[in-house]
Amino acid sequence: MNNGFETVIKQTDNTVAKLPLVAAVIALGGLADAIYLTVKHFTGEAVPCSIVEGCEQVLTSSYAEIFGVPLAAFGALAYFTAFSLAILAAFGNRQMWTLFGIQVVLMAIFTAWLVYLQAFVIEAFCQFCLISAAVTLVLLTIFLVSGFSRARQ
Amino acid sequence: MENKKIINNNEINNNSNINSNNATKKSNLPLALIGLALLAAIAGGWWFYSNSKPQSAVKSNTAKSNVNSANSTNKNPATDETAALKLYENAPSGATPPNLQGSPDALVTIEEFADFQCPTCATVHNKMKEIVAPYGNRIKFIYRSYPLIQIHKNAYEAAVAAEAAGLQGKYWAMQDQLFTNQPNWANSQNARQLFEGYAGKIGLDMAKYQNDVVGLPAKTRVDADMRRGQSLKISGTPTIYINGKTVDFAQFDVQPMRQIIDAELQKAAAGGASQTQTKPAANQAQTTNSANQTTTTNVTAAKNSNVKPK
Repeated sequence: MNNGFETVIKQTDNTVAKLPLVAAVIALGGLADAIYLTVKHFTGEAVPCSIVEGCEQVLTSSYAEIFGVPLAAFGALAYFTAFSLAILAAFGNRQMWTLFGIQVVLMAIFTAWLVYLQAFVIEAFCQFCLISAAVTLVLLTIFLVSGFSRARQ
Repeated sequence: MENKKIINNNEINNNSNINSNNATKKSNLPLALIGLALLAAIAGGWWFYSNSKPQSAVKSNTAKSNVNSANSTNKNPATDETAALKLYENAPSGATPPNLQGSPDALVTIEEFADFQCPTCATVHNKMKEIVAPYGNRIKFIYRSYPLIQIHKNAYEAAVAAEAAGLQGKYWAMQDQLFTNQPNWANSQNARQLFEGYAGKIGLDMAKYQNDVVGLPAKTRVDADMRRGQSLKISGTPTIYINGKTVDFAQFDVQPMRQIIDAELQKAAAGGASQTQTKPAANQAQTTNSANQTTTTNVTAAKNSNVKPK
């Protein structure tokens, strides 16, 4: 009886232990997306306005830059930091996982604001920005799942 | 005994060395992974950046061969080009006389469909000024409003404001104001008031402007341009035609555009003008009244003096 219960706990433990690694891989996806957007910004390749796409509106809006630095570059930095923290956590540094959580929560708040801007202020959506938002959401979910799993134990 | 002790001590030392080596390896692995990711990110970004740049260089070199016919597919370029030219010829003429710079009798016609609220159109606007400036009366540049009303809430009103200014001979000055100040009015709830500010700035008779902005003539001209754009099946802005053939927007820049224009001018000079000159463009040239020409020339001169080198 006890053995079965212990096995379940061990399996859950293993899954939870792997979550930082999963988060790191997903953060890499976000990093690639943010790098793509940053490069697009610097090459200045104009995208024609089209009825069906809104990328050019979002990426050329006044919200696309902070002090002349493209928002995507901040995104790349954030994803790289998230990746680094997740990797350190995956190798046993629990404090880094806490830091990862704090960062991901901040990223999620910022992302929510960006999605709001796209929906209600710019009134156009950029698919690459939405991919980034989805990545942040997944990272937040992973962190919350790991938190709940540990709390249960 | 002593030998045994020494051996044991050695073993302990070796074990502790192995353990510390393992620990070092383990602690270095995450850092190595982070470093690797950083390198990959920098290398990937650089690769993507440098791959984007040479493409634009190639674009300018191959610009001549990249004047594509409207709505063309890869099935049969010759047939498609003919069909596209036919579509261009048969499309409704748009606002008459059009908003035109250069000479209405020029053998090379550049026709741009743009949306005042489109950010890319604002970028193209500056480049277009740079492109057409040196050609003077050797070309005919027609600007047509094609507001994407589905996504740009103030675009139609901006087009009407420009036409209202045009009724006082200041279309280009207003066009400049609208594009330059685009970020200020694009999503504003008070776009109309902002447009009035620009109208005042360029010295319009405000009473007449306010009348024209709500009157039919200005709107009719915008609608006529939109009808022409719709029948040309324009799906995005800016869309640029040179002698009836669309310019692939991926190739759009000052040098490639000048190469295309130069090639068309050469063709025209070599006698191919009668073939390449399209019917509506010729009609537009004939119907452009002298008052409009004078205005255009004057405004162009004023505008050129305001050209800011990029």
